[in-house]
Amino acid sequence: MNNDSDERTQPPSLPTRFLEWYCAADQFEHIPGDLAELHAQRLHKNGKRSADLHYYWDVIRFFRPSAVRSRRDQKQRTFAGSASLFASYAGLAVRKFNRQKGYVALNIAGLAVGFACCIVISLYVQKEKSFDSFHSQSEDIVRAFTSNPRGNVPSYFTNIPEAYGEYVLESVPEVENMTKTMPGTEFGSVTLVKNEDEAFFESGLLVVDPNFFALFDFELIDVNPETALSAPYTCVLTPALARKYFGTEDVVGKTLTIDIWDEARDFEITGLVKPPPANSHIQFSALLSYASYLRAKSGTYLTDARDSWFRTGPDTYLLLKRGSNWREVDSKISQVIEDRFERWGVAKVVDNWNFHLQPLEDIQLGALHLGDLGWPITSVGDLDSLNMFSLIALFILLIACVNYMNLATARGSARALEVGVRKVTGARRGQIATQFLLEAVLLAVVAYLVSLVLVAIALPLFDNAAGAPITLGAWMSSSVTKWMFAAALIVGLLAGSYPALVLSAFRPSSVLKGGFTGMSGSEWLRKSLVVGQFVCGIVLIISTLVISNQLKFAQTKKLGFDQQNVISIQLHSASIRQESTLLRDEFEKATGVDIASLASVLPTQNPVILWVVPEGIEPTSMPKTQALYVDSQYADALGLTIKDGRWFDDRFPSDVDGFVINEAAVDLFNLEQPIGSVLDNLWEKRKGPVLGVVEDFHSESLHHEIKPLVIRLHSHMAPRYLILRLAAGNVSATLTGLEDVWKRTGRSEPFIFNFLDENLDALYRSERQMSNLFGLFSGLGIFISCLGLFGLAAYTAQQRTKEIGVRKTLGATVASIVTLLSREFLLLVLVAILLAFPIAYFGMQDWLSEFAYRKEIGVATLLIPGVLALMIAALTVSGQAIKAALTNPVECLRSE
Amino acid sequence: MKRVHLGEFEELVLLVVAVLQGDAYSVAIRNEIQDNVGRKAHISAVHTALTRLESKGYIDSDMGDATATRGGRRKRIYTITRDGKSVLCFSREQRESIWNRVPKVVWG
Repeated sequence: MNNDSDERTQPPSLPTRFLEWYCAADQFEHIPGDLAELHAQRLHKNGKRSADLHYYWDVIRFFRPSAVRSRRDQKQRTFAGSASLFASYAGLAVRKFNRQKGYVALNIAGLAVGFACCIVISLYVQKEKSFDSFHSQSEDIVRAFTSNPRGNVPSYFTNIPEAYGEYVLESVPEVENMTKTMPGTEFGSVTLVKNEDEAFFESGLLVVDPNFFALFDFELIDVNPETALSAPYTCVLTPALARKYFGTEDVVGKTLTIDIWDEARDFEITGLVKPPPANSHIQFSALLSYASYLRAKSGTYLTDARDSWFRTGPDTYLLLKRGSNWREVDSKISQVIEDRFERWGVAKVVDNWNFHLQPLEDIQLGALHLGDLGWPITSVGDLDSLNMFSLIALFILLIACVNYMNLATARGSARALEVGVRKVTGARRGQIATQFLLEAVLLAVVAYLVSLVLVAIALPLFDNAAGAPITLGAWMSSSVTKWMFAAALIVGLLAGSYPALVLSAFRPSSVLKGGFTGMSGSEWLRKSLVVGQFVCGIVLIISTLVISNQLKFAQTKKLGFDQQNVISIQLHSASIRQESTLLRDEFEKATGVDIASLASVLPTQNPVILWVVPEGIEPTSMPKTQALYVDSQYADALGLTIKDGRWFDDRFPSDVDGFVINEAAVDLFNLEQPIGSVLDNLWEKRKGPVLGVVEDFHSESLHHEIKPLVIRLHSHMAPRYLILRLAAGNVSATLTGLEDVWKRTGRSEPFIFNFLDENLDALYRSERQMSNLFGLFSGLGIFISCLGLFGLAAYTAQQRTKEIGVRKTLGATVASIVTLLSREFLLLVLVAILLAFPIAYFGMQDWLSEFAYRKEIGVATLLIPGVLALMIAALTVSGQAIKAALTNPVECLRSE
Repeated sequence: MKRVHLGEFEELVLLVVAVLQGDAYSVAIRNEIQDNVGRKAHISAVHTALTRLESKGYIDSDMGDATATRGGRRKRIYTITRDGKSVLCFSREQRESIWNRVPKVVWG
């Protein structure tokens, strides 16, 4: 009567499941059995409904301590509790690794390279982000800057008026202290420093006032910071610089002759200063007293209370009272400065000249790229590219993880048998999952150790590529390595979790019966993972190509002047500058020199700013322009094209007041008839006619648009560079000749020159670094992806050995089998290529928009990386496929 | 002899185990108590008593055979041990001696 159907006679399944869950291991047999028997009795006597209800009640009643498994018991069931089990798993893992060396090596190599990339990039990012945070008061220090919102691009200056610091300190209560610093070099070049016998060029001089040490944590060695730099013409040196000049660190009381502010003066050394850490935006090799600067400039505009407000001056840092909000102080300062100007009746000037603050810690990576037009203080880091690098690090780690998962799941069906046997002999699901996880974590840890070795090898190379020295000691002690270890464990767990969950769920009966063909669901997953990997890799390659194309474009673009065969010699001291015309004439006579010319700055440097407006125009409506001071030879030396009018001519003394302007300036001034129009030079308070118009030429990197430029004769400003156009031919002989001329004219300083085209190259330093790094990382990304692909292909070929054997006996050619095996993978790569194109295109379009002049992304730029990736993938896969196709079918088929 | 501590229900179960002799598993014991002693006993209560008796060493258990009605699961067959027998005897003698000392008047 109760055998009509199994369903009807069985006890209900829900309480049974509950019972099986809580039931202790040693009672697992008889309690469920007893309950089932009772159920059957009641079914017989009272019918199903009553029996089922009783069954529910029985199960609930059995939920009592004697039947419920203990905690110790529980642990053993779900988790491989005891230490000996773990040891056994570890042993198993090692044995398995030993047996599958190739597969393990692939895995470890992929993960290790991924980790190493991540560590190196994190170290770099950490270094950049820690900039300037080592000062104890760093959170309360701000730097002042001015902005000029007129013109196409707002320009920022950190060199602000001399009087600003004192005035703000006096009138804004939140400002507790301030200090002024100033590069000890003009126009970002070098300064001549002499001891008794020798002269060197130094670029690391910084002029600071005694407050410098009150704000910043830079340390003097055995000197009182309040007095060390209080007197004029005193300085402190870093130990390295002291040794360079005197061979000893015992230099207090000695003097150095420093050629600065148009005169050579003796500076007394009052002490030593510890060198600044690498992550400081303030860098120096020697500090000169600010009093020296004030003394040198005494009697000029500096001492005029009103005039000094209209000239650029030092970088000024303010120390705010603890807890004050710098944004509030910012607006307060704007207010008090407006008051100041109003009292002078020049409020209009302020409308277009704003004073602002910037927190110290934001200087390196802040949104404002300072030093754009002012005196560059230090190379300002680039938050965007930093974020990009972090993203790449993540990408590569992801690719490596995906690799691991891919290889592990692919081998899953091979291991299914193992799982089946283990389950039959009593392993529980939790134990098998634990075993897989343990294997994955073990692999990850080994990969981590390997990656440390890789990092140690790669760091010096990376330094070259990134231009950011990271010492070995720094990274060993850095928290990055510890974090990466934690990351390695997490990666191990994550990468192992998929195989652990999927493989441990196999039903032993279906696995052992045979005919188990792997997991169809996971195959889909595996394919999308491969596609994801290749998308990352191809995007990286395209990016590299776009960047290097843009660089090539920048190097070959017609800049409006001829940069080949031009050298520049800096006129670094006042005494040379006085003889500049003489020197120029001497050099022009030397063999191999076509033209010699004088100029205030090189085309690669930031020009000075001048306030020039057409006569009769309201001055405040015009932005300031860039200005260049040159001689009559300049246009010929650089090969500028005169569009209209003429260049300066020595035969007309009145040219001194004249201007030559570029086309951008013609547009800015809105001159219909430029030649002969009169320009009013507001700062020099002189007027003069426009003599000629030159074709626009690039005086800055291609990031910037060509700005309005006015050119004047150098009699208004002593030239700082001698520019020589050399005749093509034997350049080295010419250079030797030039050095002789240099010595003959009685110069004791070293003869130092630069090729202009090399200077131009230097403008793209950060882009070149980026291109190098992208090249490196995209290579690695593709390498790791290919490791994965290689593993997958090898595995597939192995799985289909029998199929291949049968096909071959039936007459398939090697070519057809290779196609069969490769097609699937190459399709995946094709899909990846299609996905990568739009991502890379829009991403790089964004990057290119930073350049005012750019090389657009062509079809080739997109196609070449795609084809490349396809070819690499084809090579990787077909190697395996050919190997499989060439095996003698007898060998594949006899294995059964 | 160890300190004898046998609950009333435990004693009953122990007796039934002795009665069923070789066929004593929890469902049979419960049926016996319910049908022949006329006392309601829940299977889990029987089970708890068996567990306690076993831990006190009065019964032993072994896995028996499975039947279809049990869903293919085996029975746990309990047998009385020497200690079990002596504790039953002891308890019976104890009662007997007390019985004997009850004055006849009580039954009057």
